[in-house]
Amino acid sequence: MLNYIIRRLFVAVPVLLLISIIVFLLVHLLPGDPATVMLGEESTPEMIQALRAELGLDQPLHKQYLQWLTRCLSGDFGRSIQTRQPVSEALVQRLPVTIELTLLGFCVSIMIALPIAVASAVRPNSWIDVMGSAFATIGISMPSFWLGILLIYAFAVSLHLLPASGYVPLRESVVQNLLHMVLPAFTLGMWLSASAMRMIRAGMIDVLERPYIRTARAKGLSERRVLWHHALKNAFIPVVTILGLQLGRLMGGAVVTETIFAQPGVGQLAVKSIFMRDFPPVQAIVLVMAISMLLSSLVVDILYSFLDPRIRLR
Amino acid sequence: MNKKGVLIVSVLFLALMVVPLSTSGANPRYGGTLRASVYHEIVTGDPHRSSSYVDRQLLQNLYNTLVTYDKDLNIVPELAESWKTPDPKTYIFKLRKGIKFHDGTEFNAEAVKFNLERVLDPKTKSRARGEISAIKSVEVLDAYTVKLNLAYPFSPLLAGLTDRAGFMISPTAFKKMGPDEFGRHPVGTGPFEFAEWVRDDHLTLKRFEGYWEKGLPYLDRVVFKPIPDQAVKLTNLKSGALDVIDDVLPKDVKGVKRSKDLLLYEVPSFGFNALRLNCTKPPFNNKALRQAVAYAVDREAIWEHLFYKTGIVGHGPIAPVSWAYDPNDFRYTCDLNKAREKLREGGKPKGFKFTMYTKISPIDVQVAQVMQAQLKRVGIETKIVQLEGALHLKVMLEKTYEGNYGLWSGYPEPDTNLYRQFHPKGSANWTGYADPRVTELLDKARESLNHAERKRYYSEALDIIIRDAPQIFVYYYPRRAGVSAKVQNFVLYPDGKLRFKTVWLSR
Repeated sequence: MLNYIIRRLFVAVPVLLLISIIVFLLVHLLPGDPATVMLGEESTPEMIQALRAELGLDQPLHKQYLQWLTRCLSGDFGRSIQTRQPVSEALVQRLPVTIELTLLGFCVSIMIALPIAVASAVRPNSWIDVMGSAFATIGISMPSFWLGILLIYAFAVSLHLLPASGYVPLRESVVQNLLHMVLPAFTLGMWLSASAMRMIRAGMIDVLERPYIRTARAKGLSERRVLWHHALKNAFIPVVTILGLQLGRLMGGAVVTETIFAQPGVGQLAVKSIFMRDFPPVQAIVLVMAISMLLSSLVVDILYSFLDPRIRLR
Repeated sequence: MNKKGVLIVSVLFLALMVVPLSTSGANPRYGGTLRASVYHEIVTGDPHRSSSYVDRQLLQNLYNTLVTYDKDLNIVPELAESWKTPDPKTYIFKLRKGIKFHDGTEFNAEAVKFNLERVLDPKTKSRARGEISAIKSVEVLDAYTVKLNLAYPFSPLLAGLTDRAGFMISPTAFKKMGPDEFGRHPVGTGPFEFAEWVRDDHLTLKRFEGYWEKGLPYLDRVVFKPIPDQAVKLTNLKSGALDVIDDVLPKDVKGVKRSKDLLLYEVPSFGFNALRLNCTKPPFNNKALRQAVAYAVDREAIWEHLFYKTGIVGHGPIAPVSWAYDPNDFRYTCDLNKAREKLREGGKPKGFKFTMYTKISPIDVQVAQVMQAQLKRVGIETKIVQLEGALHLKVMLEKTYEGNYGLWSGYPEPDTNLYRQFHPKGSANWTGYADPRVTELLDKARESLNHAERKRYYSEALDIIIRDAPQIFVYYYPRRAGVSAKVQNFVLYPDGKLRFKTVWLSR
């Protein structure tokens, strides 16, 4: 197992290197440059030239890339061109927000999807199943920015139950933190829950027709034990893979949610930095995202072999 | 209703809405935290390196300037007690005594010299440099007297000192921290001092106990929250999560006014929206074709249907609220026959095609679309291309566009609006407009210290500019703020800056 993990990590190095090159090129080939954006509408070509020189943007691209890479390897992502804040500091401030939001969103989606999916699978084409399908269709087609605004309107403006936006760090107040997280996590989770529900349902239906389920029932196990222990565990194997990869998608979805609920996460920083042509934060965020995607797919694979001994590595 | 009638009614309409709740009789209450939205994350607290409009919401509450505007836009003393101009090239300021920066440094003539020299130093790369670049040298006459020697007479100087160039930062704090750090931990003399900044979440200011205006400010804390989305902003105001929002969309005006928990503040501003036509390349290097566009656009319709009859129909680069505005200046009204005549004169009787850029903003795109339909009536075909901010800026600065619709946020000083946009040396002359007579008039107005004379120069220049149509002026937009009913003593100025020095919270 350890061997396998090490091998996987080793393979990740050229992938990351390739990603870093692509990111760097994409960001730098965007039309419009940070010096112009910074100096604004009334800048002269001389001012722009001087600032570009100061920021090192007048150097050839490959030189800039090598400088950036060597600095990154020593853990220095540079400073934001706009705000002069060190990028690592910005990431440390924001990553917890995005990670918390993503994990909570994930939990919410499973909490919604699991009971509906199991109930639908047990009695296909019953009213529960029809309602479940309807729910999934609505969930998939409803844009999260719309759902977010709807939720804000209902729970913050009309009922005054929850805060409309903002973020309170966990260490400041756990209760306040969770209150601020309820609506965004639900908005984000809803988005994934629909597809998760369809996946779990399909897996369950498939598994429930297998001989070993019949055997389990024939042995006289209670229906509850058959369902939750034997069926669900097996149905979950393909689902885990797909859901694990959805975590990455969720992080992307967090961009929208963070914007609606004005939460200072990584996604919001990325969007803003792209608009300002603020290269260093964008490059760092994409790299961090890529690393977390690689890690999450690794975790998924390990989990997979744990759940299904048949594919455990020799 | 004729055009002038529309204007008068709209001005009256605005004036009625400006009247805030009377607070006379009620005693100001100390304490409390006020939460205000800003449309974008604040970029820097360093006034001399700031280039973003949003920064001013912070700067205005954190710093003082030598001179400032009162709410009727007269220039009045602030850190300077008085000033005189013995000749057009000399300004002498007497400073107030006993003023301290937030870090305890004394405010004096040396501090003024340090600040002005920093703005003037090309190495600072200050966007405000042009506003005071007429200053040749700064002399300290005694601890509280400063003399500015100008290289040439420059009447807009005082106006420049009310804005970015005039904010006074603490020299000791700056020298200790360096420019990067100072921008993140600013130190001034203003009513509030810097407390905390969590990027993209909030920036907090706290009451400065040593503030020189006795008894002020009333609030303990002011929190700025960056919220770009208009709907989110308004929702937060309604839910009570914000006390002041920095803008209200025309379509939401009615709703805010109807709510008994909210107040709408609206004042005419110096800003305007216009379609800029690139005078340096075809088709718009042809004056008659620009004029054809000017005649074909129906501004009234845009004002009525897209701005819900709020604000004022636009006719020129100087808004009616300015002293330089002259109602007798030439103005275009929609006249399709004249538009066709101008097309013939310009050698394109059947019309022509051009591309119109806008920023990615729903209201801007709507205006562009309505203009597109209006221009089509005389055969002028337009293609609308939406550009994201950085690209929009690029085509404008490089003059690689044909038409581009956008806004000019405007300044109380007419020179700042006119010289920058219509003088060949202007820093915002994005259309490449140049007319020898206009250039001469703008230069003369700068040199003159006689108000009536300046007004005459501006009026003549405006008449020529509007006729030449380098920009198709569409709309003078008002500044708006939405405010919770518990916010007392709030005044919205035509520059749109939120000032919290005298604000207090009831309950």
